[in-house]
Amino acid sequence: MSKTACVCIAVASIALNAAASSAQTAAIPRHLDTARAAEGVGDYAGAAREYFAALELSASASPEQRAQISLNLAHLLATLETVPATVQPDGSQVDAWKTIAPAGVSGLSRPDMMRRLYQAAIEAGTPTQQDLARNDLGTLLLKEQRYAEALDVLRRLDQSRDPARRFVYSYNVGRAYEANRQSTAALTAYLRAVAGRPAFTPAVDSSLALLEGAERLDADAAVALVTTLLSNGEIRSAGRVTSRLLTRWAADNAAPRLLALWLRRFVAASIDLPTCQKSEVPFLDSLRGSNDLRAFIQDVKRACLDDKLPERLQFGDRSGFSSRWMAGWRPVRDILDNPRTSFAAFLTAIGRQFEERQDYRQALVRHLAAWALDKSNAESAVNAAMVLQAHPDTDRTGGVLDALIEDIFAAKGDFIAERDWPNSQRLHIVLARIFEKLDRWGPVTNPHSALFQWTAAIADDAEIRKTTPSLAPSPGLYERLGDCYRRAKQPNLPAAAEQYRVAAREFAVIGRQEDADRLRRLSEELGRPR
Amino acid sequence: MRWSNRKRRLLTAVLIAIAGCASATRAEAAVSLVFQVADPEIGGYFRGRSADAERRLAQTIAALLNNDQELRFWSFADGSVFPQLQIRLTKRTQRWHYEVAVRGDGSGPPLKAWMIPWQTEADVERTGGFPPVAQLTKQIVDGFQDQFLTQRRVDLLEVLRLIPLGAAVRLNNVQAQPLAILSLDWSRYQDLATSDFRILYKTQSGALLVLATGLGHRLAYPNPPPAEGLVVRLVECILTGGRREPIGRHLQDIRTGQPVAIYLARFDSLGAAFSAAGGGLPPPAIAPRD
Repeated sequence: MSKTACVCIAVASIALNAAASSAQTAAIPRHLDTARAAEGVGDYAGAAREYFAALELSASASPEQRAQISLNLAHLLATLETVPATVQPDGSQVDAWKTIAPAGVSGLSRPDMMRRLYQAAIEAGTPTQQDLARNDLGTLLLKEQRYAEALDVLRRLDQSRDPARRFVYSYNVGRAYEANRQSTAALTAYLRAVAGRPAFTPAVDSSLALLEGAERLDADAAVALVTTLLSNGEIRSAGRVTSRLLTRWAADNAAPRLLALWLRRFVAASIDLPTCQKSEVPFLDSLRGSNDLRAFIQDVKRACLDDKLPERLQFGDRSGFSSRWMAGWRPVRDILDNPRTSFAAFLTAIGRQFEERQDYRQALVRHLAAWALDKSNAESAVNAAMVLQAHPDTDRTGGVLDALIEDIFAAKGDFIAERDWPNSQRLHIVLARIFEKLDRWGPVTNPHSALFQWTAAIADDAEIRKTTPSLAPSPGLYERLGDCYRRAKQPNLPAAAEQYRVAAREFAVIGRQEDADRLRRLSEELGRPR
Repeated sequence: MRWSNRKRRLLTAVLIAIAGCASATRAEAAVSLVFQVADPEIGGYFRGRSADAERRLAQTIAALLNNDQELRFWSFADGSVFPQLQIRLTKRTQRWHYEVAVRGDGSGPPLKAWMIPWQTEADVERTGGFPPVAQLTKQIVDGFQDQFLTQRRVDLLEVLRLIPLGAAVRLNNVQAQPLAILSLDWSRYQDLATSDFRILYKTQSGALLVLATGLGHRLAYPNPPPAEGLVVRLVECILTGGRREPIGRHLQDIRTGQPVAIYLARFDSLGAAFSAAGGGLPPPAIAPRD
């Protein structure tokens, strides 16, 4: 045969092989689809046939496709663990793997076959496929109680790469650490899993088991766990965790921090007074804790149950709440394990419950107590002011209102430090309305005047817009300030006109043209020379 | 006899199912939605057309719920039949609230209720009073979404598990494993494909609750529609008193009994999340606890 002919035959042969290889590769997706469909209806034999067929054809497939086939087949084999063995006519049992394994691999055990497949995926796969293969291999090793090997495999996972699966990876890493008696590392991994998916109960339960079973309470980890759960709306889980940890660690020095978390969970769950009295209080009563904890629990109970709390309740008084809430705890916002701020939030929630019962005097006591505890949180002051405004009979002499205002100004630094501008603004608005009703319009320098309070509300508005520029315009503030300038003992009509002009502009921005026109006309009228 | 909360909830679910059975011919919606503006101050803004406004609010919120990734599995529509999601806009001590309740039936206490603060009089003062009606309606809906749906959705989902998603189930006797096809249309419910379900059967020996787990696939559902339903494996049975027994002991009861209701027992959003992650990869293995 001539050289040319040989070359032609060789080229043709290569082309034919390439065509055949291409046809084989093209058949792989069909086998995979058929396999998945069979798997879905429990036809594991049929699914296995298809996966093995795809595997056989995969020599010419891309590494990624080979890895995918390996992973899917390994997953099928893992499922076989739950399939009961087949009973033979002679009474012997044949496990599911043996009934479906092709001749070439029937000598291997199911786990060995799985290991082979995972290794193939680790060698050929994309980073995502490699991680999945390591995860599943590590899990298999854990089931076989080969803990050190499992940890070695799972530690090589990149736990941050795959957003959809990383919480499972973190959890399995945690399981491997725990099996190797490295509890601290295990807990860190579990908490990472919870942070990745707070609804993932296995990670929550595993974290809780470690926290309960430790020799010493890891309070920071407990706080991190409950904070994650509460922040993500997993209130029931948060309740379960805090209750169990409080039961276990009531005598620990850090138990007050756990109680603080419990109080936060109470607030988040919107538990009503009857439920509080029926189940929450008995739980607290069952705890055997330090003197501090017992004092705190006593106060929590009184806040829920006592409808005769004194009006001007003081912390540290015999008839008041314990001074321990204040000692050693600075009010810091958004920290859930601070007993002081948590009790304040709790008192606010209970105060609202008393409002619903229409026991406004007792509601006011709790709001004022919350305010006394935590002056960085203006919500309690707003609530107190709203009760005073709606129910003036709760403060016949006006002494409570005056004391509240003095307190607010004494605490102004805390407001600014903690940036609760929205509640600060609400507070100024409520106070302004109170003073309007009392006919105290000005002067602007007097904190006990509507002019002062509306001006302060506008100042707060500017602060709010620094961090929330999308806040809707506030024409009401300028209109009401304009009203104050008109109605003060010494009216300031040009100032009123200016405020109405601004209010008109703000109303126009939000499409309330009638209001805008009304105030523009008023502004023009007031601005005319007299 | 003291019942645990779990048993009480199970009984409640059974009663809802029986009620649903009795009115099986009603419209598609699994949950009716009622909105009531109970505060006369806001009601006054609608100038005698509160009923129209309330209906629009109910329809808008129903649409929101039907678009929610997890809540959409129950059909919400404005209406007055039970089970019902009730929302009342009320006012107490200078603050408006959404009083929200899920009711299984018209008598007895709600399955769950919430009092959700919306805004205060101070907030309304700031903006110069309530806006025109069209804007006010939007504000009410936005407030509900921010204060309730965003913050309480886990709670709401917990309660909705007591409300059936469907009723009809077809056993698949061909395979070695006890499989069934749920009359939950794949096109709508595929994200539940790997979730767990409870199927309530009425059998000759009484009510039987069957636990089933989704296999992640679909099969044709012959008659009546849907065209393709979710495939589940029947796992075990729960009898009265909470006793659990293997499925094999009750297959005959199940074959001769009547499926009454399908409940979502555990939403496995993992399945949806993993399949959404793409790549045709199987879900990752999860190490069991000892």
